[in-house]
Amino acid sequence: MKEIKLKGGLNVPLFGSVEKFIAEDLEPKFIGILSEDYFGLKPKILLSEGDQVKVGQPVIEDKTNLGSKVVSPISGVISSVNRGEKRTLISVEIENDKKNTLFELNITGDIGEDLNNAGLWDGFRERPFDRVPNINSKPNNVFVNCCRKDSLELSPNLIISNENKFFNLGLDMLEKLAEDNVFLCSNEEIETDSDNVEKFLISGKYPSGNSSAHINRISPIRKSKKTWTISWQDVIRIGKYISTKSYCFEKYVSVTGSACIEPKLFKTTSGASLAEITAGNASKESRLISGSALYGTSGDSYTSYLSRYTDQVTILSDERKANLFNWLKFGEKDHSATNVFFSSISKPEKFDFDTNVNGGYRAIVPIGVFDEVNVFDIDPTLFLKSLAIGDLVALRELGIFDLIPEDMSVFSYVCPSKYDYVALFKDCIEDIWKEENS
Amino acid sequence: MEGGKFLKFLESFFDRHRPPKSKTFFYLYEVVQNFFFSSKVATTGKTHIRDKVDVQRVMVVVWLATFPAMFWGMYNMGYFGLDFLDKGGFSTTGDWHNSLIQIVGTDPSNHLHRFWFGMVYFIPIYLTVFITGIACEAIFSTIRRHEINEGAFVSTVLFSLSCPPDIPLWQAASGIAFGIVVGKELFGGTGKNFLNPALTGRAFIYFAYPTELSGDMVWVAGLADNGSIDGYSGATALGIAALEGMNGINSNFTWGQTFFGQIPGSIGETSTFLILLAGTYMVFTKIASWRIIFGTLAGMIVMSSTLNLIGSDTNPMFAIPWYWHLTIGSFAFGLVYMATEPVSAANTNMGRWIYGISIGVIVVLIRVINPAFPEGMMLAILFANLLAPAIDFTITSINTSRRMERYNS
Repeated sequence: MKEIKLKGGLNVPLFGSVEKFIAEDLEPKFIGILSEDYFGLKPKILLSEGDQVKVGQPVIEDKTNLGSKVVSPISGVISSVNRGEKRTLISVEIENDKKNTLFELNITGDIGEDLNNAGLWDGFRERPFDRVPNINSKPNNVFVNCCRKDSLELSPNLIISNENKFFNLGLDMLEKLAEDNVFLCSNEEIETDSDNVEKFLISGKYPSGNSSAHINRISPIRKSKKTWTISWQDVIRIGKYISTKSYCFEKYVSVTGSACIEPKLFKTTSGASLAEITAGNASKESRLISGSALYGTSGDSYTSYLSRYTDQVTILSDERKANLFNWLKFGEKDHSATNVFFSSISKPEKFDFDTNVNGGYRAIVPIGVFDEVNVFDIDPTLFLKSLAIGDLVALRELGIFDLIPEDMSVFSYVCPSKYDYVALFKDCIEDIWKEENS
Repeated sequence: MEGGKFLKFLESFFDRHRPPKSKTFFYLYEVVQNFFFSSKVATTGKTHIRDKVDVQRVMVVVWLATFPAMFWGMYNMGYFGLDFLDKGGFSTTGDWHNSLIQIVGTDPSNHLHRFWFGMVYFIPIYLTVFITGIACEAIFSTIRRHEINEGAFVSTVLFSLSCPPDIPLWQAASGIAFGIVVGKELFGGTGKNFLNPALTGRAFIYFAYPTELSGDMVWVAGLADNGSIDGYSGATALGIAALEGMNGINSNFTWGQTFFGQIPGSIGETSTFLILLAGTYMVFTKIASWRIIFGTLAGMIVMSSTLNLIGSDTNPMFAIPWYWHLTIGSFAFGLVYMATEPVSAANTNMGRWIYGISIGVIVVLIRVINPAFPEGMMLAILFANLLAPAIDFTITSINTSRRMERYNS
């Protein structure tokens, strides 16, 4: 057990968190598979609208990673296959018939193939592109992330300690898979049977729960080594799969946020419809976000589903408002990384958070907040400026391979010029992916 | 209720007339609308909440922080101007300011009269600079189709405060126009400038109109028009120091006077005390970088102490200790308001230290060793602006070469 204290970061004092481990079961009527969750996906859609689908039946195969597939977590009917510009896949929606008919599960003894058949392979993601790894490859290092990434979600430790048996089974599987090490990063100590898992206690402000920060401190990315990440929920699912020899698509989801009437914990199915999860729990004019307020997806009617890699749903007030002479306001309830508002002295218990941009778009003015909230091994201002101009050569040197889009959200939050670095990062990393794979 | 109705009307007026982004006047609309009402734009993408601070607010903090220096500057200008008129027995300042000044009076011991005197000189300068500067920014941005940045508000007020009291208005206008256009807009506007726009303008008028803007005659309002009188020197503390060294300063001012600002000089630069107070506010709000400020102080202290130790028989400036360097001339003003300009400064934390230290070292070198210009802060900051990209490059290449070595291993 080693401790790692991460400097920098920012505490965003959101409120509306889940406090107790009381999970309500929820079987969704609709689920969705979102193509956005899979980086670099070239989908081959194996079923079409109206087809019957069983639990565990492959729905999408990735042409760039032959054999790797996305499976249906429920049985029912493909209700729609949604496509966008140039016929790119947006989402596949499936209606639940609640019969739970199972697709035949092949167990071959090969770890990779078995996990792929069980629909668990896409729980892994390989750096630097944060992409589902090739199904025949093996990782050198696997980083298991058990950190509470967002202050609103229920602490993963509460759930892990409740499912400890399965969690340990899952870890055993990872140990067999990994050629070098399995690293377990958490905020509080987690009981494990195995001595081979290296445990790390992480402390720090947002976004120190992100795997990029852990990887960088523990075993930084090298070209010669494959680094994979996986979240604690997928480890539990792998454990359940091993112990029951059957599919497991359950997912714990914290429903939180400032516009959430009653924060709750649900045990539901991967890909569940957000409308069903938040039914009766969202106040008027609110935005449903799959993920946290700082990094999440708020979809339209085609994509309003729980995304593959999130443990949380956030509900935020979505009201537009304009303040007169905004530049003179006292700001007793306004949160900022700087100290320009009165709130930095009065320190109110609840801050106002909503989905307003809070300012005009301007050129980057680097007042030093980027350096202050940075927990990664980069020079943030130069990195972000290179993102803004799309300088791919500089970005490679400045450390884009150490990071994933999620890591940019703290910079988007603090930016006084209101840039969206997450989107810029995505564009740039996609361009780099295309360059390297053409 | 009437006021509330008017606001509703104004808000909906802006909402109804919002032009599409493709229209020529979109950016002009946007900045005017932003002045009255905060923008009603919803977050898109993955980050759904945003910090409440924006560039407008950042600039307003700096603008507010100039107020102590601005008000003291006006009062101080009146103090010296009226004192001079009284000593010389003049009844008029000798130019168009006079008729305005006579409205209130010219009693040299009356606080209100002093303040009014300063206002009559400062407000026209600020208005001229403000209107010219904002117009340049607005016209340029509209033609070049990029957003109008509130940074121009700060550039204009800082430029005005760095002017000598008796500057002709047309020179002030040409200075800020040069600063905004050449120092900033040619390179893409605020955020892309590599020089501090206010200082670029100030340097331009300094070298373009040297007869009006240097020497001993320009630091007291009314002096140039009436002519000097026996036994009265309008020279700044720094100007005296350059000629006579510590003895010269000591026979004219106490350290307390220079620290609290009872000296002639550019409008905003005189009171080190008030400037440092504003600096504390800016550091507390995290708008100004404490690394740059302390780096500059450290560089200046080390360099001036070194020169004190070396000593010189011919150059009296060698003997000036660091605490005098701090209070005379525009060192404090440049330290707090100019050096901390984030865009043209270094952009890494380590780089900010080096950037600050290099300003501190260069300013003492220029003040002491350079025979031509007694004031070195303006040039020191401009030189450091030019150094900043190189500093950042060096700091980052340490990070990048370490990473690339590891990544390829």
